[in-house]
Amino acid sequence: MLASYAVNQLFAGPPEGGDAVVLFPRGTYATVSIQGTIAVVNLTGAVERFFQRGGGDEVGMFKSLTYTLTALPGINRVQVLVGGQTVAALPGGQFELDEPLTRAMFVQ
Amino acid sequence: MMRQMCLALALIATFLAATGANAQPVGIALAGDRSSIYVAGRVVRFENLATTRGRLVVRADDSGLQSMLDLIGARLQYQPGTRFVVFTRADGKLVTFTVGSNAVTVDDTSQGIPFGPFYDGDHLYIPLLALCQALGLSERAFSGGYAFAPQIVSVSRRVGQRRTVLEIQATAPLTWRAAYGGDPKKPMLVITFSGFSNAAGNKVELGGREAKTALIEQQGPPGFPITAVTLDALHGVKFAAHRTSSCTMDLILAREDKYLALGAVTAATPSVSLSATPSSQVTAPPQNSPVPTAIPEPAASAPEPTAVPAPEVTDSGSLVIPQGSPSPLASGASPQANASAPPVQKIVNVTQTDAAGVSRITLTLTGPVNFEWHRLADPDNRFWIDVSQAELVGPAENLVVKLGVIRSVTISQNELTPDHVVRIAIDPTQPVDVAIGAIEGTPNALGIDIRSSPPPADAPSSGVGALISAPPTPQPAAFSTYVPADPKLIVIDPGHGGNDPGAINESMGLTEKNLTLSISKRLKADLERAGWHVTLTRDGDYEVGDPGGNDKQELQARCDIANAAGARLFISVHINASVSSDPSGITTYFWRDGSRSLAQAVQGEVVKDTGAGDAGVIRNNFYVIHHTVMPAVLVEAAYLSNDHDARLLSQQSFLDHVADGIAQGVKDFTGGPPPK
Repeated sequence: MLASYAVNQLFAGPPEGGDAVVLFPRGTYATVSIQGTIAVVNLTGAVERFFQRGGGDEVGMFKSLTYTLTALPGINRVQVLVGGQTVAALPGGQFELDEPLTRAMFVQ
Repeated sequence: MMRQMCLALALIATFLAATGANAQPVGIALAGDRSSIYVAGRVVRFENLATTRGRLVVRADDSGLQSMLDLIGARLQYQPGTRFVVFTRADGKLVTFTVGSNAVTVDDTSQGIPFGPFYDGDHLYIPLLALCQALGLSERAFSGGYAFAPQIVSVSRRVGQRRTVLEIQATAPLTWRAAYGGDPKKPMLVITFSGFSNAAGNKVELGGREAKTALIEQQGPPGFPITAVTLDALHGVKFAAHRTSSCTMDLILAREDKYLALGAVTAATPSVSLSATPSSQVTAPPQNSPVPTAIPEPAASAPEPTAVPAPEVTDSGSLVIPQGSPSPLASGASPQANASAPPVQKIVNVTQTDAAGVSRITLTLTGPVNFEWHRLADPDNRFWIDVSQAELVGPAENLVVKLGVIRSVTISQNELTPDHVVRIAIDPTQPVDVAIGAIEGTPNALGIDIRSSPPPADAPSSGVGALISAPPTPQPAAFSTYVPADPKLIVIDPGHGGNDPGAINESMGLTEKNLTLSISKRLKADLERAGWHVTLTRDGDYEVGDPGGNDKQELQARCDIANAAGARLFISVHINASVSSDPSGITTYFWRDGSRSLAQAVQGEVVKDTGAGDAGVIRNNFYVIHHTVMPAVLVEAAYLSNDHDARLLSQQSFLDHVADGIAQGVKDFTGGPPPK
């Protein structure tokens, strides 16, 4: 499925070199399913442990995820699950995840 | 990409080999089947239902299959001639059958089934039971049919400071209704859900403040299973139900409106799980969302008719437990013994509408009323509703109801009673199902729905209810209208704590939770010197709120401290960190526009005071600045992952400057604390 492929590419990052960094913790896995216009992303693995970085990376992670998936036709929202559950935020995180994410939420 | 695709194909090939998918079943003998199939309380008519090997199968192109999927919000993706039959559940999980394979996969979990989909000629047949189970429905067989419905897998209690919350978790979306039962001295609130329950028979102690117990029972006719949760709520307690996700609900009991909102108060004591069967399945969207009318019985009622004044479909609703008669129904008031009788309300209009199988009588009143109802046993079957402290404007009426099972419906002033009582009398030829409740969206309208279907076998024979002006679902006050209850109070939130260290710089021996506490303590002293009162959400190395609570409870507990106190401002203190060592500087986050100028003031002063880099004021949805109701900001003071910033953070003087800068920003924004 294209959505899963896109997310896994996002997690993998560029092949090698370059200045780009992969924001999602290494060892994060995702399964993506489409529910109407919502992409439901179930994150497992490293993200289930305490997030030990700050707001900048956290926002960047979910902004990149949201922009990646809402670039696909018919998708305008992204619901993040962690370990199969709806959560308020990542463990130790601050960024709110219990409602579907939209691009508009990241507009300043 | 090509390599990944090859891998994917290899995996599929392995899967097919492992499950023996190459063999189509032979010797399938199809026999038409006339079983009645109920899905989520509705009869679904299949054109091509058949039995093979004693099991029901349905043709993939059967319109009944489509109706069934529509009811639970699932979708079928299938191309004729292909081997994979994929269903998408409403919760997004993928259910994958492979033609000829004795296994079904739900997302990544595979389980064995007696047999998989198979072709008979050009037609693909799918095993119905296996399908429904994979879709998250439970199944019960009864004579002549099968019922498939969601199942409540757990009912657990959470006690907050000023409310009791029952968490209901199901395998698929539940529809619900609330009703009053019991007698006026011993009111009961009955919430009925469409579906089975594996918690049935349990009695849950609720602590006795808002309610004593919740009794969970399985009710309803075979095709329409109902789980009833009966709460012996106390007088003056209000109730609200919220759908918290597609398959979970929170039932909240509280005495004050503001505690009825989701996430309104902290969970102060540990959760008690009653029927701790964790849900391994989730599904489907709210199909016909319930109409939260106040109905006086846990009736097996079909979804609301679409004719008649259609109430707005909603996921939340609320009721107030009627106080002991004859006290008034002022919402939110505590019990008032011996209160004077409520004023007499006039019934100014009576209308009646018919739809298939249901008639609705609507009484338009001038205000709230109490009512009671009685049902006589079969074969008499008469049903009447007495509305007390009510006066019928105009003469008694004989309403013409089109339901064939109704002989007559009359509405009249009952002259025999000293009180003002208006009686609505229904005379049916057989047992009928009657639901009485407020019509949402229409103030002071009492609806009486008469259905030709029989009531549940164990339906009560009488009950009481009340028409109230339904209070709107309370929401935290928007900032624009926020008036602090304690205008001198500022709540400071040192980020992380306890088992959550936040960011760490190991080589420097720096941990975010310690740095945020240090800054926060200094900030507290600064602000107190300026005349503010200050509360820290934590003043040591521990998690805020219930130690066993989940992340949401932890974050919400921080918000609750500020919200409950009605603080003037909320300031959350964090230290930043990145996977990259490049980013550096101070960032201040806000969410609501009303907090933007506070963020700008704080950011400007902290940057000025510390000399650290300015990484900007950014709008972002961090939990604690979203769920606090006052102006709120979250300061990320420098990066532990940046060498230069980390050296700064290792100096106490830098931490003090961060605090002093925030305090100055508060002063810029507020002009200082109020004089009194």
